[in-house]
Amino acid sequence: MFLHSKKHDSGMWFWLKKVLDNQQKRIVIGLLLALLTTLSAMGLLALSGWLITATAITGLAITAGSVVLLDIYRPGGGIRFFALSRTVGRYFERLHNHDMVLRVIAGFRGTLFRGLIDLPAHQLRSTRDSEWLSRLTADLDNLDSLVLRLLLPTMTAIGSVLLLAIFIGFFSFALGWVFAVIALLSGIGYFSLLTHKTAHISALYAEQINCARLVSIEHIQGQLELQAAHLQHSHQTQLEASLKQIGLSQLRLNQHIANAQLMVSICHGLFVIAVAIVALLAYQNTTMSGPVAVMLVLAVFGLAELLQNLPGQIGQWGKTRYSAERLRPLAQRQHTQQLAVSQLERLSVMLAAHPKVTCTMETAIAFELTAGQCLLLAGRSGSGKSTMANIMAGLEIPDSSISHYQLLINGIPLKAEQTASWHQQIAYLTQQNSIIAATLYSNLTLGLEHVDEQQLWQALSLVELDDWAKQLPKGLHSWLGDTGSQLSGGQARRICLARLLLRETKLILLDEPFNGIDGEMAERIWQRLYLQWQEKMLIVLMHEQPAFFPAVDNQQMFEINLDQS
Amino acid sequence: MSDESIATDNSPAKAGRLLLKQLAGKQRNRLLLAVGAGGLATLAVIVQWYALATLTYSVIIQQQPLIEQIRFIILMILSLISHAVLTRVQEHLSQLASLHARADLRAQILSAWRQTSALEHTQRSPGAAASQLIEDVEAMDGFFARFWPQQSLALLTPLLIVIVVFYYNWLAALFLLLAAPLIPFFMVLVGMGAEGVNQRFFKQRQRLAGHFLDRVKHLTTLKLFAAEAAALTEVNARSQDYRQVVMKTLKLAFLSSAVLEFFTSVAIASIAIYIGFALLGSITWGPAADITLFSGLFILLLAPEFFQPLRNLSQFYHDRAAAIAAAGHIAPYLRPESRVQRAEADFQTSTESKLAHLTSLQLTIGYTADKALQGPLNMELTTGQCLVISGASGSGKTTLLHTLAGYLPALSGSVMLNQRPIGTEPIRYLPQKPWIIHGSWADNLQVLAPKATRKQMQAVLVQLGLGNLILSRNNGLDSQVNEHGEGLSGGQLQRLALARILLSPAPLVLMDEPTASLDAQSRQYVLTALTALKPNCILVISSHDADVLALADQRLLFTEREAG
Repeated sequence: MFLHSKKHDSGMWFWLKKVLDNQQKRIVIGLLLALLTTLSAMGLLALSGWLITATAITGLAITAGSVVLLDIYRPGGGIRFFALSRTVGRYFERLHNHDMVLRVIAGFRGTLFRGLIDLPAHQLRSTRDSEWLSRLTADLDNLDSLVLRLLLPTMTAIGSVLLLAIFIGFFSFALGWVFAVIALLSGIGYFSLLTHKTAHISALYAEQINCARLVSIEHIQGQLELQAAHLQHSHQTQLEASLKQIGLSQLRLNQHIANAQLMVSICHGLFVIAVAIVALLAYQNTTMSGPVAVMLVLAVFGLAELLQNLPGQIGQWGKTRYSAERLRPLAQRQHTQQLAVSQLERLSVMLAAHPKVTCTMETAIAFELTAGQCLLLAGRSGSGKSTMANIMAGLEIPDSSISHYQLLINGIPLKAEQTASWHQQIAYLTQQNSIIAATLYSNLTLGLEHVDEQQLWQALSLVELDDWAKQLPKGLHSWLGDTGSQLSGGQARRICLARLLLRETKLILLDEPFNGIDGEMAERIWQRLYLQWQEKMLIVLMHEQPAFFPAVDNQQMFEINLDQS
Repeated sequence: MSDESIATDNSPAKAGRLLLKQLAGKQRNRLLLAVGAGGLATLAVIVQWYALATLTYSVIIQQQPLIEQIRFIILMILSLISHAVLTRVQEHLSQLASLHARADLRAQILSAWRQTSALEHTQRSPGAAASQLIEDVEAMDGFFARFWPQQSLALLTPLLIVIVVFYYNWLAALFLLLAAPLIPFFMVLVGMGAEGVNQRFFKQRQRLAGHFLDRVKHLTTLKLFAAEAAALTEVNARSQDYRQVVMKTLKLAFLSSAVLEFFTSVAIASIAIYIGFALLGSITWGPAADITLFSGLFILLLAPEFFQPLRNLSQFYHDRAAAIAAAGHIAPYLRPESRVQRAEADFQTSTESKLAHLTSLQLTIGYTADKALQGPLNMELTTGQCLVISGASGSGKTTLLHTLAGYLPALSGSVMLNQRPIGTEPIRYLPQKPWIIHGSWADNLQVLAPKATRKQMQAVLVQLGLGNLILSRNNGLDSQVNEHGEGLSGGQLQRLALARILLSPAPLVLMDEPTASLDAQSRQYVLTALTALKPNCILVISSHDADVLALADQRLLFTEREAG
């Protein structure tokens, strides 16, 4: 299964290779522990079978009057040993393998995050979509099957069957051979069929879940309109249909697994019977002793415990593969050489056409800014202000130089490889507040090292948050974000502004800086910030110019209105 | 924050258990049949190993030729096949029970959604609600399909086996029975361990996933502030911490399953050694003298089967814990706080030809009784009249619309539409941000105007100035409206939403700021449509737009009230 998967399941192979590269030793130890447990279980039964047959025969001989010696203490000791090694083996196997899986998943999480860092900004922007995000974690969770349910159980099963075959071969070479070949062939054959069949249904199932999820989200979002019109029930019929599909796919998947279980237990039972017949025949031909014959039968019987769970585990194949393939493109590192951008002296933007900005060839936008100048970009919502801001922040870079828009630093177009370096030179307040789940301190000092607390308090006082921060339970170290203190929109906005105040950059880019901040406070804050940033290049994007802004003089203060362009 | 979240409140778990019990109760027949099939499968196993033990005994001890014992081989094959088939039947029945139980629960959730006020829905994350309906319900599969039947089988199977063993050797049966009273004890131990671990595990896992998602969500910000490398280190450190915490708890949790393993091994080992000594003649008291290779081997073969159901149960324990957690999430939402009375089927308006009346008497509105936003309001509107509400944001404009739609109960006083409480008759509500679904223009119109024909749709879209936009596309009405409305302006989306209302008129139409932030062209079309709509219904609009105010027959100006 794993051999042919190399060619077809590139996603699966990508993640598996990561495991094999980093956790080789642990996999070998895990495998040895699993084998120890299984072999102990089989050994316990096999030796017990040998013991009672041997004692039965000896007992009869003694009653018949002959003097026979049987060492019962050594096999008894063996039985006790196996009983213990099975328990201990199981305990450490579970412990070791869970530890390994947690390590593996931790590695995967890191790989994925690193890959996401390398993802171009425009692709990343879709990550604000909460659906996309929750699918990401669900897929990551599914990957733990890769080691725990696919790699280790199959390898343990193959290993146990081979060792058992060698053990049988020790007493009957032919029987050992036949057992190994038939067991492995039927096992591999059947499980290839199972993975092949379930892969399709698993993918379908995952798609149906996504579809039902989309419809139910729409259903909830449409409640205001649907409930008023008494149309909830009629919209639910569509949802009910997709939910039914999910149930049926899941049933089909489980039925395939149950069928595999049926086949496995019949095959295993037939093996026990076949080995019993061959061993008993060998006993009759006096090529095998009675105790050995019973021992072999019981050894094969003991395999049941291992095989019982295998179909359910292999049944995870499709789901794991689906997740592995979806995550793979995100985890791929893009090896791009990062280039530095020269110190900003002069910023120019030219924009003649862009799908999201309202301007045409005739009304093209072009401006140039140097230190100490402030530009106000006005325009109603939907006119493309945020797109303009993203272009200037280097989050949207044209594919070629003949594109209809361009960002020039000191007269040279910004390249995609220079974005990281460009971000060091700008402070950009995005339209949406971005408060990470961390302390107030971490939020303010994002990407900075060794910031003096005094500086933080000064920044907070400029945005009138110092009193608020002082009364927080843990001051600067209070937790913010989804799980932390509730922030109002205005407070979040001001934290984002304070974050910019701590940075030494030449360009300040503000997209709707006063969203959620009432007029009087906005004016007070603006006066302080404007004073602070007088020496810098300042670009403010707003739907309308507030009264407290300095008048346009085309020297220090410029205005471009996107609505009129 | 870590201290608060570790302290567990067990009331959701209790509610979850109750819900599961209720769902399982409805599937009782299927589940009991599954247990029955499982019990029969145990009998088949007993027959199978009986045949193997007899065969071995007669060939090795009685020295009979194998060929004469062919009937035992056939018996073995038959019982083997019936065991496998009966197990398959058991699985099939329990899977069906699970399928129906989950369908039942989903129907309950959907029904609760219908009874929950739309306002309550808007306060919930749609993604979380969808997860509840889909993932949480899916997570219950293992409980019905595996755990529930196994719960009974873990008692039934060992009981059947111990009876058979008792018949052949009461002392060996005693060995097994000695383990038996310990088993419920260990089950409780395993159960408590598993549940505790599962809850902690779940929380830790959620916290880890939450952190990861948060950093991915803010990756653009992290990149803008050059903090991505620090974030990566943080993500890795968090994973390692999580592993260490989880492993600490697992060390204990796995001990309980090791104990089960230990008992299985010790029981097999002691039975084997006891039988060995008895066969050798070293033990003479008790039933030892009667032991033969047949009964000895038979008992030995049955011993692992005695413990197997218990091992399975402990394996399925996490299914139970997962189901209880999921059911605990769902249970509170099955009993919405503010039930709204809604007709289940589409209500046929009996007042189509007659004039409709909207009356309010001493109406006060607001979210909490001690903080009324506006009121008392007295109004009387009939078909053809328009009420426009204006006022500062937060003064209660949208609140009044929600009250008139029946989403929010009146704090005092009453609102009646045609002398009946609000909500009994279908009306139309147009929120500030129109609802757009993933699908075509036709789908988007049909979803709120199910009776409209394609011809009517086209006519209305042309009337609203969207004709060119749609006809210019290849598929016309069947062309897709993008999910987030990308490529369409806010005004075009607003017009699409208005088209639905024109296509399915109702006696009362409520609109929240229909012309706010629209471009001049869209605004004009919306105003024309409002004028066209007005004679046939009661229009209640919240707006500041002078042109909308011009349509008003009655006006309400809300001023903000001081709290208290």
